Amino acid sequence: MMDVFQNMLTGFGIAVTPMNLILCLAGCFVGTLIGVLPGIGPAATIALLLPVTFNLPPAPAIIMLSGIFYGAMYGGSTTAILVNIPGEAASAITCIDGYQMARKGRAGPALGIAAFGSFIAGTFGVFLLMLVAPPVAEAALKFGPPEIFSVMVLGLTILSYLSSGSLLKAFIIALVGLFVGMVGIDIAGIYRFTFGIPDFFDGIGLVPVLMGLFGVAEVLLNLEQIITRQVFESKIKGLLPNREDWKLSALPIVRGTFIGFLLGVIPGPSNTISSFVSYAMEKRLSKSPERFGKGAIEGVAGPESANNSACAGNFIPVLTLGIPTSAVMAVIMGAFIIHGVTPGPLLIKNNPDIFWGTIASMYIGNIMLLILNLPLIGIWVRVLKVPYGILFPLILLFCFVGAYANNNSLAELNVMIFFGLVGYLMKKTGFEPAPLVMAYILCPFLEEAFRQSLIKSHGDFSIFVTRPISAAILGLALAVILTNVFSGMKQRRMNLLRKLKEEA
Amino acid sequence: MNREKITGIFLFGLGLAVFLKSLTYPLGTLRKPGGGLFPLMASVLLMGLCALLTLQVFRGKELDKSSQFPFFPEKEAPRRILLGFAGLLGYRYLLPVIGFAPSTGVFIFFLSRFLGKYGRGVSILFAVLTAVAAYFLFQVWLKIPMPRPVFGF
Repeated sequence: MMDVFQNMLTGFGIAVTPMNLILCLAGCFVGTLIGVLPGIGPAATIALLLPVTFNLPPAPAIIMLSGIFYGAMYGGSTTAILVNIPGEAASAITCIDGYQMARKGRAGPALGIAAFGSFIAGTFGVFLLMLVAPPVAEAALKFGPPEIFSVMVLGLTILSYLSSGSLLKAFIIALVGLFVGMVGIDIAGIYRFTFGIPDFFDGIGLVPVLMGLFGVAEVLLNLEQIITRQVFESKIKGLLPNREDWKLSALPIVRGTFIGFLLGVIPGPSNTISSFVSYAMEKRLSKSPERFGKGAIEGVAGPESANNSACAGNFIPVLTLGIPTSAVMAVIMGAFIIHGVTPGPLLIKNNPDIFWGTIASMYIGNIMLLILNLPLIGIWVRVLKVPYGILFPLILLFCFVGAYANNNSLAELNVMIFFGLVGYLMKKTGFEPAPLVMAYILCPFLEEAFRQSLIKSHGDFSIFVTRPISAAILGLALAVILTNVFSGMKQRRMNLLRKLKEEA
Repeated sequence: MNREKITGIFLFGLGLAVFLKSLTYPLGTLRKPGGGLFPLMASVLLMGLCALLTLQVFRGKELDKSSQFPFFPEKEAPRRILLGFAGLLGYRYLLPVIGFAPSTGVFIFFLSRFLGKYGRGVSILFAVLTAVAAYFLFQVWLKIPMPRPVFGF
């Protein structure tokens, strides 16, 4: 323990040099900015800014690039709350209650609790990263393909469960999402569902799908009515959460921190999964779950804490094992290699300045982000007061540029427009976009885990239920489905009894 | 036929299409699954769930509140949706022809004039300002390589 604190002091010595402080601030600022701007994700931004770091020593370069990543998680919530477009996939779930809060004139507290929750969870996540990196990574390493498959099935089940409409429809649209994720080359190198279109060989891009489903579809829906209104009629006041908000949010922040950190260690889009799981948990634990989807502050506090804490968790496999857990981590790992540093078990021993300097900078970065985000909230709230007639062309412009910049491909624009239409029709027919997106993101990981499990078990499906961890996770998923089925039956029985009573 | 029934049948058709397409990929064996197995299983599941959905709808069960509302909330809505959609397609196909800044200007003018209901002067001003700002932000500052116009300006 003393070693850890000794090393942290060394880390702070590195992180507080003027150049590192400036680079940390620059990373956090750019991260928040790209988090706020839909369509320009942290992976693309880090890749774009990599050449800027070529002339820097490794530690400052990694400090700045890491700042972009966790800064984006702070900023991602802003557009989710203010315009119902997730700045990052991890903020998709924040749209549900965050946007409803904004519609009720409570954008300030929603943004405030997102920033404070992110700060608390981000800081505590880094603390956990510092303390428990080796043992947690070791435990996660024991997850084989069956366990990874089961975790993803649980994630999808939970997500479908929390959809506001029918569970059946949520499962159906999740399966459609899987099909979207299957487009491209599979793990064996076979082209599937590409129909000979070269732009689909690498799969359908996440950014145009997100921009279409969340951005274009929302604008099309709003276009149905004559636009004469301001975005929000009521005056937005009180940027800081009140005592009641804190009371409601305290436990979700704590739970979100732990969920995010633990899920962050598991390979896959854990920032997104953790925010969805946190939301489902808060809805489940709430004494008044009917408030969820209508502007419950817990639906913002929990997921935003989870996705920030997951950032710290994400670093564990990279820094200690050299395994990137997501696209962003893969780019950051690339940055390590470009700077002549090999991430992995020997990193702490060979490059303590990078390891401890980066961790120390995360503490500082979280403080910077809180200071950056709370004053900036006012600016974004003011953006909301721009009439919708001015706002929607700009939203569409950002969607276009974001979708195009993803791969510099016009085909991505076709994909975005197509998914915009799909998203619009989905809204009209009672299908939620979130299960589709989640299934689409998870699909490659899910299929790989499924196929590896079958290979491992020589074609025996029982591998998913004979391994204790996998069985427990799948049991949990089944329990989630049964809870829904039985609560539906209970509701129908109650309705029948009420009807009979009325007739009597 | 209401929209729930159409949706159920359409998605069942999608499942069937994926099922048939999956058969053209190597299925492999359970010991060594091929690229077609996972989509095949997912498509069977989708068809099953869609059949259940359609059956429930035909039996008169209301799955959610979506079918209670009219498809378009007001008479003007289809025209506005078509205009919005036309704007998106127009921008997409104009972009590689006349370049980023000019096509952005046309796009913004079209949307603000015909859907935002602003006057011609305000729409032109808004379009020009946005196009110039977008050019400097995305092309000059962020160096996003937007498509080069066929006319080369």
